[in-house]
Order: sequence, then structure tokens, then C-alpha cells
Amino acid sequence: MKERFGERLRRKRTELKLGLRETATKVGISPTYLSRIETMEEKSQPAEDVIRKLATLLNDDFDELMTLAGRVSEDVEKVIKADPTMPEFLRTVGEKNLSGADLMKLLDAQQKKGKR
Amino acid sequence: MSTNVPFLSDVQIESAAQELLRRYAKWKGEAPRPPIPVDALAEGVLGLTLEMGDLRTKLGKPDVLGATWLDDALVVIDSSLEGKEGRYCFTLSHELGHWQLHRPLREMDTVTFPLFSREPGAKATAAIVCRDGQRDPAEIQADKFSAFLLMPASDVRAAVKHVSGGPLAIGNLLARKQAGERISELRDFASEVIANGGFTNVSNQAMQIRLETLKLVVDGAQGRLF
Repeated sequence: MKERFGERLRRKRTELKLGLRETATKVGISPTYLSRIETMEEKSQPAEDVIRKLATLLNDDFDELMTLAGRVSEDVEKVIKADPTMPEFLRTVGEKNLSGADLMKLLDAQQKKGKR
Repeated sequence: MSTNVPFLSDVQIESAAQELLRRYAKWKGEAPRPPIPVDALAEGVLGLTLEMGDLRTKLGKPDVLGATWLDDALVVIDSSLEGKEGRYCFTLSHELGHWQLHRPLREMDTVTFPLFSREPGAKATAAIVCRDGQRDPAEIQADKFSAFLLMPASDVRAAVKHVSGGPLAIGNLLARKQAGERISELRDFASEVIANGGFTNVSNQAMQIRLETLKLVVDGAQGRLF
């Protein structure tokens, strides 16, 4: 089963031997709020800057954390909004169930095409 | 609801606290020094899940400070203690006392613990819910464990030696305490020991009690110190 956002945070935090209160202080949130995030009690997911700070502190991937939190970062959202074909493109790619490696190949091909 | 736990001597309780500190030293690779890192003891050494939340609302008890769910290895500290370093650390180490001293009794089926739900509507499981001012034997044992853990005797004695060279005599200490007097010499001495020994996560009152039980503060009217 896929690890949930709060579970991931707690696992990374304990792996790094960072306490609940210590982590909360470093990120600038209250321990109770961090605890609620970890237990998925918090209905509204934390703000993007909090997730970014957590990713930096826990040496974790920001985009993966955003995805686990059910969020899209602001820069990605801008790209999607700027190009009307983007949602359909993403939907199509999503339906193909491409692997991470396939997606990297696609990105690579797209970058090569751009250089020509 | 009171929990009927067997009698434990102070020596046994102190030994359990020291054992936990030894486990920390093995886990961290260095001996713990005050302020004793109680959060790391809970999550790192004991592998407990530590949460902070609104226990008072969830359990419907206005004076609850902490709770330990034995089967879930879960400790929850009430959010009201957020930012209150001394009270938070004492409560968490008190819960660790229950975990170390009383959980084995459940596993041996020698003591039955009351059932509490973690969330309203959730299944009730064995738990120890600690309320302010509870004085049953299990709570007293956990309080002692907490004091022994946060203020190891050797560290307190070392700090006292540095501050005053040895135990402090306070004139008519017992009589003044019995009269309900706030003894400023005792409070000031506890403050100095806290500052000198780095006991930044214990309250002045907790240190006063520890100093008296270690006989590092004595009644001057009783005569000689040494």
C-alpha cells in the first residue's frame, strides 16, 4: 500500500532522529499542527512553503511530497493553466500508465526536439 | 479509575530510569546529559509513536495531561502543554514511566487497565490516562520515574557540588514548610542548580523536590550536614 503523506513525514523524521517538537520548531509550525499533519487529522493540507521546508529539512523530494499531499506546486499549476492542451496531454500520459523511466525518455526526447 | 499496581521501591524505579538512559547512550552513541532528551527517548529509543493533540476534548476530561495506549505503543500529550517545557517534559517522561513500569504488567496479565478510545467512536483499548493531581500508586510511581529520568542523581549531585560545594542547610526548613511558607532560599538554590547543571527542561518545583529527596537540602535546625 502506498505510504501516505503523514506517514512519510513521520518515517523520514524518525530516520533522521528528529523529534516532533524539534521538527516543528525548525519548520516554523506548532508541534500540535505537525502532529495533526502526521496523523492526517488536519483536513487542509499544509501550505506549499511548509511542505518545501519539510522537504528540505527531511532531505526528501519536494515534488513527491506535494503529490502525496494531493497538491500541485504553483509553478506546475501555472504551466497547466497557461497551456490549454496540457490537461489533456497529462490525462493521456496518465492513462498510458507509463513508468518513471518511460516518462524520463519522453522528457529527454522532448528536450532534444527543443534543441533542434 | 485507579490501577492496582504492585509496590515498587524507589531503588527499583530509579534503576528502571537509569536503564532507559543506558539504552539512550547505546542508541545515540553518547551518554545523555541534562536537559535529558525525553522526546528522543520516546520515539528513538522506545519506538513509541508520539503525538500532540486535544486530548481533553477527545477524552472528555478537562484535566487530562497525557495518555498512553499500551497495545498501540502510542503516547499522546495534551496540546495545552505546548510551550510549557517543564510540564511537557515531566508529563512525557511520566508516560514513559508507565510504559517502562506498567506495560509489562499488562503483558503478564497481572494488571487490567481501563479501556479508552483514541478518537470519539473508535474502539476502546487498554490505556493509562493521566490527569492533573491523580495520586493513585501507578501515578506516584510514574511521577518518581519522571523525576529520576529528568534529574539523574549523579548530575544533580555534580551541579550541587559546583554551586555550593555540598548540601545546603536551610534554617527551620521543615517547620517553615509545614507552616506553608514559600521558602525563597530553596527556590533560589533550585534555580542555581538548574542553571548550573543544564536542567532546562525541569521546573523549579520539581528540582526542589529532587534536592530534598536526595538530601542535598537539609533542615539547618537538625544540626550537622555531613
